[in-house]
Amino acid sequence: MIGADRFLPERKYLPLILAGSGAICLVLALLLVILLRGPASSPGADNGVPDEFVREGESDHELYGADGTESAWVVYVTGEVMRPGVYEIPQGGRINDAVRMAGGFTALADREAVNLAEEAEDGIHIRVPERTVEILYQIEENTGLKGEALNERRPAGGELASRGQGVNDAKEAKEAKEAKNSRQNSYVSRPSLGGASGVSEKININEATEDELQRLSGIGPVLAGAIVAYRETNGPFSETEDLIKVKGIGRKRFESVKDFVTVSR
Amino acid sequence: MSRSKISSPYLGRAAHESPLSKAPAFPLLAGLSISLMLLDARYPFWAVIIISLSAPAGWCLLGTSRPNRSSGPVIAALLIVGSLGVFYIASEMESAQKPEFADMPSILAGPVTSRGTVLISRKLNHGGTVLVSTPLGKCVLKFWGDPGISYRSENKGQKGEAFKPADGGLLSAGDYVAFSGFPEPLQRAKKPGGFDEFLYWKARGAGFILSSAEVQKIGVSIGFARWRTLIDARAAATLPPRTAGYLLAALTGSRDESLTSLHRSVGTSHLLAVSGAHVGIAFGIFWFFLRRFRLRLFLVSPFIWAYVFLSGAAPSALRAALMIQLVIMGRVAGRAGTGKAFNTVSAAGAVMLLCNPWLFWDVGWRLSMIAVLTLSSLTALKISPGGVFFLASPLVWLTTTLQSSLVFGSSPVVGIAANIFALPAFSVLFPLAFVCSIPALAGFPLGSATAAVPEFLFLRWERLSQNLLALCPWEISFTAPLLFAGMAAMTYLCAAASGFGAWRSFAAPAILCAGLCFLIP
Repeated sequence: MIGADRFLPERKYLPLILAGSGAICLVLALLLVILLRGPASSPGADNGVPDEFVREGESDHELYGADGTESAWVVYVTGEVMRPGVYEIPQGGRINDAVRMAGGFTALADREAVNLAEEAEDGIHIRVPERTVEILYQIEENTGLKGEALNERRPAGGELASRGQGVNDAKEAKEAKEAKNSRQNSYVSRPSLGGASGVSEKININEATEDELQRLSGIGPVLAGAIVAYRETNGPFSETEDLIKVKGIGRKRFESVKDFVTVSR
Repeated sequence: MSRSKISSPYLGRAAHESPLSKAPAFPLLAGLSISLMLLDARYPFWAVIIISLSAPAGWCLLGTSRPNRSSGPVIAALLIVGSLGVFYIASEMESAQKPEFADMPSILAGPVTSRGTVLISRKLNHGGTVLVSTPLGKCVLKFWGDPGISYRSENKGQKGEAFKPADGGLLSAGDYVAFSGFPEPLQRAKKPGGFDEFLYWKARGAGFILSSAEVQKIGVSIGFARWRTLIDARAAATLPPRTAGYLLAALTGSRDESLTSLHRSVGTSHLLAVSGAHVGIAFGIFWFFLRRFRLRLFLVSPFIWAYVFLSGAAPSALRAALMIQLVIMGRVAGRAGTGKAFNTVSAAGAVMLLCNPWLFWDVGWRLSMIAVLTLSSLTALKISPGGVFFLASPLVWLTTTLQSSLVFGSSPVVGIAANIFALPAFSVLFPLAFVCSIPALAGFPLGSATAAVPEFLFLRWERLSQNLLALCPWEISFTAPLLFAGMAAMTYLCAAASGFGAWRSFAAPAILCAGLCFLIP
C-alpha cells in the first residue's frame, strides 16, 4: 500500500484534485445532456415521448412531409370501432392503422370482415360490420330466399354486405361487393349466417364441440366454452331456451341463434 | 485488516467519509435512473453510457477527500455493475420500442384467446380494466359494460340493450377468467402530463392490451389475489367504514375513494399506500411472535414477503421488504454494521430498477424512493431526534412536492404540518385498528364495539385534518423555484448522507442547479 502511494499526488493536493475531477465529470455529464438534448428530442419530445413509441399516424413526422406539406390520408371509420370518426393516417398506411386510431374493434365487431393488412386510400370510408344475423334475416324477409337458395344468390365467396346503412336485399349486397372491388367504399363482410355458416342444418347444443358452437353467430371461444361447461356441470339442455342460463348469453343473443340450434338428436 | 493498522498517509478517519464507503449503492441507483431518463428521451446510446457512468463517477470523486484502499475495487465494481445494468435496461427498452413484434402477438395474427387470473381490477365509468396473468404473460383487458354478458362501445347514440354499467359485475382480483380479443400495443400519453398507459402498465408487467375484450369469469383462483378479495369483502361487511378503509389500505392495498380524497387534500396520501411504515410494523409483529425461535432471522422473511404480496406488492411495499431482506442478509453475512438506511434504500431501489426498469416511471415508486431517501439521509446527519421529528415533514414535503405537483397538478401546503403528526399517529392507529378489528372480523360477539374504538379515533383524525386544512387551504403548483429548491435540497441531503464534506455537500447541488438553468426552457 505504501508503494502504491508513490503514484498518488501530494497529500495536501489530493482532496482538491479529487474534487476537481469529480466536478469535471459532473459538468461533462451535464454538458452532454444539454448539448444532445436539442436535436435528439425535437419531434414528439414535448411530451417526452420518443418517436418509436408513437404509433404510426400519430407522429408529425409521418403526417407531414419534409417540406411541411401535408402528406397524410384522411379516412372515415365507422361501425363497430371504439371511436368512430375522421382520422389522419400516414400515406401508404393500412386499414389496420385506421382501425387502431379509431380505438380498435368493439366486442361485437366482425373482425374477419375487415382486411387489416389492406392498403388504405385517401378519403375512403372504412365500415366495420357487426357480427350479426340481422342482415341475413332482412334479406330472407325481403327476397323470400332461404337456406341453400340464399346461398346460391350470395356473391362469390359468400360475402354479403354488412350492417351499417342497412342492406335490404341481395342486390344491395352485390353492390356492396362491387363497391369493395372498386375500393371506394366500405368493407364487405363475411357474415356468420346466424347459425352454421350457411349450412341449413341446426347445431345440437348437447353434442356440439366448442369449435362447432363457434360457428353460431355471436358465439366466440369464451361462450362456446361456457356452453360446454354448463352442459357438463348441469347435464344436457332440455330445451334451446336453456341457453339463456349460460352466463354470458342474454335474451338478445339467444334470439339471434335460436333458429340455428336444437337439443333433439 | 483493521483500520488502525492501515499505514498509508492517505488513509485515516476521514478516509471512511466518502460515497464509496458510506453509500456505494447510491451512485449505482443514480446512474441507472439517469440512463432510464436519457433512454426515454432518445439520447444516443453512447451518450447514455458516458453520462450515466461519468455522473456517478463524478459524484464519487467529488465526495471523496481521501481514497480508501477499498476505493479502487468498489469503484470498479460500480462501473461494471452500472455498465451491465445500463446495457440491460437499454435492451429492455429497445425491445419495448417495437411492441407489435416484441412481447405482444401481432394484431394481424388473429385474436388472442386464453385464460388467466385477475391480478388488478380497475373500475372505469362504463366498464373496467383488469390486469390478467396468463400463460402468454401479463396482459391488460379493457372492456365495456358487464363482463360475461356482452359489451359494446360507448359510442354516442349506440348504447345498445346489451350495455350495462359495471357496478355489480366488475371482476375482482383472484377471479379466473376466459377471454378473447385482439391485441393492441399499450398507448403512450397523448399530451404532456397525460396518462401514459404504456408506462403505467409496463411497470406492472403487462406487455400488451386486449381492447374491447370478451371476458368471462369461469371460476376463482387460489392465491394472494383471491385472499385480497375475500378480506376486502369480509372487512366491508363487518367493520365500520373508516376502520375498514384504513385496515384494507394497510392489509390488501385497497383504496377507499373517500379516504383517498380526504388524505390527498391534506397531503397525507402516503398513509394509504402500503409502504415502509406498514412493512416495518408487520416486521415488528412477526419479529415479536417469532422471538422464541432461534432461526427467526430466516423465518421472518417468508412472512414479510407473504404480507407484501397479500397487500398487492405495491412498489413502495416491495422496496421496504427488499430493504429488510438486505439488512437480514447483511446480518447473516456478519455485516450488521453496514446496514445504513440510506445505502440500503439505494441498494433496494437499484435492485428494483434492474428487475423491472419500468418501475422508474411509477409514481408510487418515485415518491416512495424520494421520501425514504430524504428521511434516511436525515438520520445520517447526526441531528437530534427532536430535530429529525420536526425537520422530516417539511423536507419530505419539499423533495416530493415537485413530483406530486407534476402528477396531481398541485400539492397542499398543509401537508407540511399534517405529516409531522400523521406518521406517529398512524403508527399507533394502524396496529390498534388491526387488533380491535379481529373480533369483528372473526364474528365474535361485541366485535362491533371493539371496532368502534379505532373508528372514533379515525374520525377525530379526520376532523383534525379538516381543521388544519381550513387554517391552511393553499396549494402549490409546479414552478421553477420549487424545482430548484427541491432538487437542491435533495442533492444536498444525499451528498451529506454519502459522506461528503461540508463544502462538498454544497458543491454538488450547485453544479446540478447550474445545469438545470440550461436545461429548463
